[in-house]
Amino acid sequence: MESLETRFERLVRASARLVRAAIVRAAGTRRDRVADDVEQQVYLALWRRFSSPQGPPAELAPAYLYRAAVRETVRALARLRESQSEDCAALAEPAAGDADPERLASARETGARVAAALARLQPERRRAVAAHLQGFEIGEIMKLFDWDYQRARNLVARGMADLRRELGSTADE
Amino acid sequence: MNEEAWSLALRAHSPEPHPDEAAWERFAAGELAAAERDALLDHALQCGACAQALRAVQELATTLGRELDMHPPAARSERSSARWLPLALAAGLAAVLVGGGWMFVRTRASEPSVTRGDAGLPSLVVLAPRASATTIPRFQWRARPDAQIYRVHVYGEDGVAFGQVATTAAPAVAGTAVARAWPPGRYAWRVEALRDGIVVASSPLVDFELRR
Repeated sequence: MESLETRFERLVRASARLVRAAIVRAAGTRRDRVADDVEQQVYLALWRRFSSPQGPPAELAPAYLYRAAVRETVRALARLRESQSEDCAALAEPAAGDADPERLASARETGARVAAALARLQPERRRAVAAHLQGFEIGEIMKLFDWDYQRARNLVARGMADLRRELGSTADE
Repeated sequence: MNEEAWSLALRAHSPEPHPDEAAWERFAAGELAAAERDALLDHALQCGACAQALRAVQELATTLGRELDMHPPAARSERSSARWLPLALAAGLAAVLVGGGWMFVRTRASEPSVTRGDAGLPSLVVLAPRASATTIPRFQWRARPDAQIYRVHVYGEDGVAFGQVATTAAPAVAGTAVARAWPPGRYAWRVEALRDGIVVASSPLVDFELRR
């Protein structure tokens, strides 16, 4: 029979693989830049948490493992971002990540203008539109906000119309 | 300026301060109060890097949940997974520990082949392959009148997506490239129907086995 430690190791290894898959998917077209050793780093980090001298904390491990996986996901994305650039925009794709300072500055300026326009929208429409512009699909938006399909789709459509009006009026000012 | 430009610009936007790791953990565990959760989402959706963290955390919750066979009760299938998933994950992981790692050898043959698709979307009915062994899979599903195109995805048994296999207007596609490129083993596939670039229906994950 497998020891608790062996089972833990297998579970942690599988989780590290899933963390890597999540990171690869989130990185989009930048996935080629995802370091090959992300999975290994995550595995080691998770395993260190559970391989205390007293042995794995059996009762608390499930919740810990899930939280640790989330933490390592966020941490690995931050490492990835830092390895590409000091800039938060480095993962944005594709134009903003291309290291043309003028384009990046222009994208940032437009981003601030879009964010300001979003801030003037009704909260649900603002969230729906922001998620849509960040590349979330309708199914993901539904999950994120607990909306049904029609509601999510309507909020995106109406919010986009509002945003066009807002940006149009800003441009006219 | 068009929608694509706005999208790129928003992804380059990076308002500070960013949520820290602890905030993401609490978000994923469903521990944030409504106002805190709204604030985190409002930030993440207007910051390119944090939006990617949000996507990764959501993806992780989904894939871990799928790997553990964590399906919400039918009556709640159209509700957000965000509220039940942390508890379900904890329970599922506990079951793994008690059960001796069954998740690594389990099959998904017991997964219903016709259920609601992801996120409460209307379901696409898959016809083949379904829990069967094949040398060159031919992915088939029932056509939907509102679909313009279909996207087929294949996943390894460890939950890692092999990516989009095919985009087709017909309700079937041959997996010749899949059979050539990937080793024999167990895989899972799903199909999505799209209209105007938006997913309007999705099938559940269905197992199949690739043989030589």
